Amino acid sequence: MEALLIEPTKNSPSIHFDPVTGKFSISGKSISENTPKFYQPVFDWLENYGKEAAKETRLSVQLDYFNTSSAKVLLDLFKRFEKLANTDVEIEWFYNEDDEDMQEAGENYQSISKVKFTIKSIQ
Amino acid sequence: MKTEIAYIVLFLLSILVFYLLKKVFDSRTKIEEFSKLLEEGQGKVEQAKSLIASEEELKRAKKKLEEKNKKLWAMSEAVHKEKQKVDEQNEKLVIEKEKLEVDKKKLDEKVKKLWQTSTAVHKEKERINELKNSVEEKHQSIVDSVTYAKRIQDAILPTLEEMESNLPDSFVLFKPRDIVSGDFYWFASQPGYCILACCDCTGHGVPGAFMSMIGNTLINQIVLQKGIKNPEIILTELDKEINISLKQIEQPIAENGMNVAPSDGMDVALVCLESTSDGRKILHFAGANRPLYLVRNKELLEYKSAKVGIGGFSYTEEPKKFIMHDIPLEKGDSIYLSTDGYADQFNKEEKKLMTKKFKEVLIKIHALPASEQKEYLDRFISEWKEEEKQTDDICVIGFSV
Repeated sequence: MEALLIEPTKNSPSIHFDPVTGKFSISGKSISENTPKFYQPVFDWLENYGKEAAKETRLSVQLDYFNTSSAKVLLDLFKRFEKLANTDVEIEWFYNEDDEDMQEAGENYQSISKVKFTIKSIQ
Repeated sequence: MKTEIAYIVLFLLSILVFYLLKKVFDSRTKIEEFSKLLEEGQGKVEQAKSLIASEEELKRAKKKLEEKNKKLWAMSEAVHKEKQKVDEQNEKLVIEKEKLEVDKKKLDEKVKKLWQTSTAVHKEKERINELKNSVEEKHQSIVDSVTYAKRIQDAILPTLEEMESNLPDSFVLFKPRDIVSGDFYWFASQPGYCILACCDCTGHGVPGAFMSMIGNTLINQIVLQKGIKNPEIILTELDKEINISLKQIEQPIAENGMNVAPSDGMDVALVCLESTSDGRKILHFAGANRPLYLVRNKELLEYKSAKVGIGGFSYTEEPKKFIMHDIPLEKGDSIYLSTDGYADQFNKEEKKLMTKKFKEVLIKIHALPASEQKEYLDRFISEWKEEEKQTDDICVIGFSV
């Protein structure tokens, strides 16, 4: 299957999911007015990926800012990743070392994650 | 007989004389002819002489002519070469001319097309202008409508007088991102206590403002009608009521895992400031995803809240528990409630202000009079964001005791 590539905009993040290497990344800002609409293709793609996943799936998330509806969709997204069969899932959350809010958000997700969820600070 | 011989001799003599005369005559004629010839010959000699002379002249002339001829030949060759050049140029010019004619034809066609395009563009321009006017009208109509709605939102917010009469040294920095705001604040005073809430509804603009209306009404009900003053209980009730209002209890999960029900709700910082009979002040605080900052003696104390919002979604499926803090206050304490809009403001380098900096500012200004604090915060965030758009609704409330 083809990789999922969504270019970033000023309101939405860049999405790059590679089904062959299993390397997935979400980065930028997630502040769309209509978040479900933006993320729907991502969920649809994951549905297909789940049928023939790579051996390892590494999702790295590096967001500068996200609104409440994005926080909710991210939660659903992480849960969806947890449910992927036949693949070893790991989620990495990156935050700017000065950004307490992002750090806290990562910790929140980590506390409920059923797969390996690491939090890393960057300069 | 002698006479006959005489006659014969005379005859012979006469013949002889005749012959001699003839001869003489002939000779004379011949001499004449001869002298004629001689004359002629002389004449011819003269002629020949003059001919020779003229022949020499001719020779000279011929030489001159030859020279001239050579020159003419050279000139003729040069002219011939020139002519060749001119002929070649001429040929080229003919080809050029043909090309130009072809080009001209093409140009004419292009001009025709351009003209057609220009007419079409002009029509489009008119059409677009009409659309633009129509869109501007509609936009203006929406802006007018929302501006009017702002008056309604402003009407439900606490008045300055209300707040100042109970919290004399207080300020509210309220900056909606759009015309109406998803942030709102609530205040009521009762004998012995007053309740102050700073709320951030999901979304901003019109949907956020709708939520703010619902939130405002619900807090009215809970605090004023039901008389509840315990922040933790207020929030629990608020959460329950919002879920009922927005029917969020049963949230459908879409096939592929995305929860499509609305996730609307709000983050709240709510305090109950209690004045005891012996003059002490106690601050009871409970928050939904929002902290409380207390600056005392230049030191900032942060009181965290549960990581759960009102309504909306939560990270866990456990029942929501709001954490309560009971804080005895000292004279000079400055208390701050805020939504995340201030710290989340981006500057033109795409950097967020961040909570850390916000706290630093609060420490810096806490001893100033309330109105000056408000001014400082307002100016600070304007300078930080410069020409950047405001990221979210901003609401910062501060008061001192």
